[in-house]
Amino acid sequence: MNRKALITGAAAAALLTTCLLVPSFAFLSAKSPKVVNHFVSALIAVDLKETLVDPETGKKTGTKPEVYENTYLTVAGRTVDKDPTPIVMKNSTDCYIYVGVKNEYPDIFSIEDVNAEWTFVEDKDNKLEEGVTVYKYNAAVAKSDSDQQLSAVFEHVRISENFDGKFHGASETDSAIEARAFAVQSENTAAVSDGYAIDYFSSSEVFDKN
Amino acid sequence: MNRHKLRAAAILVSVVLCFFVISPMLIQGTSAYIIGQSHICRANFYTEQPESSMPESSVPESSVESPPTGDGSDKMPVMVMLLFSMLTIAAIWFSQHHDTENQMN
Repeated sequence: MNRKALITGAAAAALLTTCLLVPSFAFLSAKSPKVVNHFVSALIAVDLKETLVDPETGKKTGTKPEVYENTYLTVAGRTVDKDPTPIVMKNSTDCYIYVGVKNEYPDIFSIEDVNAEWTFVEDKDNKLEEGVTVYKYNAAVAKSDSDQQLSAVFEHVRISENFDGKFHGASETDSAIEARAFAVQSENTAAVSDGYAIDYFSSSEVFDKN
Repeated sequence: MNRHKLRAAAILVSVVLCFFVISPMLIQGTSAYIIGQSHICRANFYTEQPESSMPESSVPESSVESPPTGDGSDKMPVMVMLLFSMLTIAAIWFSQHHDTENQMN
């Protein structure tokens, strides 16, 4: 009985102490405003367009990159205009820009006049399919509140004078050169971005779908 | 005896989980940089006059797409883990059932 009374007394004393101390602490304490860190996921949006070209002459008829597709009559020895131009959309995170080009017939079509702002990326481990080349924009593209049009990767494609009028693939009459831009964040990737881009363009799916 | 079997099964499941699920997740996590990719820009070369000589131009639009996800092989670890788990459970059940039968006999 005495033990029960002792426990009850102790509990009552603890309760009373709590009731007395908590309001006292309330007067003595203060708290700072709440700090909330909002983490918003970053994005990179990049587009790749070309200036419209006259199919018969292979010369530009447009004034700015605005189409995804051009058509050319293949004439041996002719040099045609082709200017794949990346556009980094506004508010994209700081990034490196790469453009991969798939040329099914490198012996017939040769890329000419690569602009000085672009550098050929060496495929040291031979990961890329035959005919695929990758170029890197020399500087990282900083975030901007407006779209940023970069310089064209190259300006012309030359058709070999040895072209005999037939392609030696699935189709004898048609061929295509495809290009796609790829962007990767520039923060903390300076040492690995080239390899990352090569890995990306080595995937067989990159040029299989739009 | 059953306790030993259960412990062995638990260790097996843990190892399978680590190898096939957690490790790939960690590896993938280290290379998840922010990326973007454009549409394909195509130059079509032909040697005969097409019916329509005007090139097709698409409506310009921007896009952010996820990189190619492969051919579904990334689901393999989960499938393998499920298979191992089912086999482990079946083995435990079988061993318990077998012990019970032995005791009854």
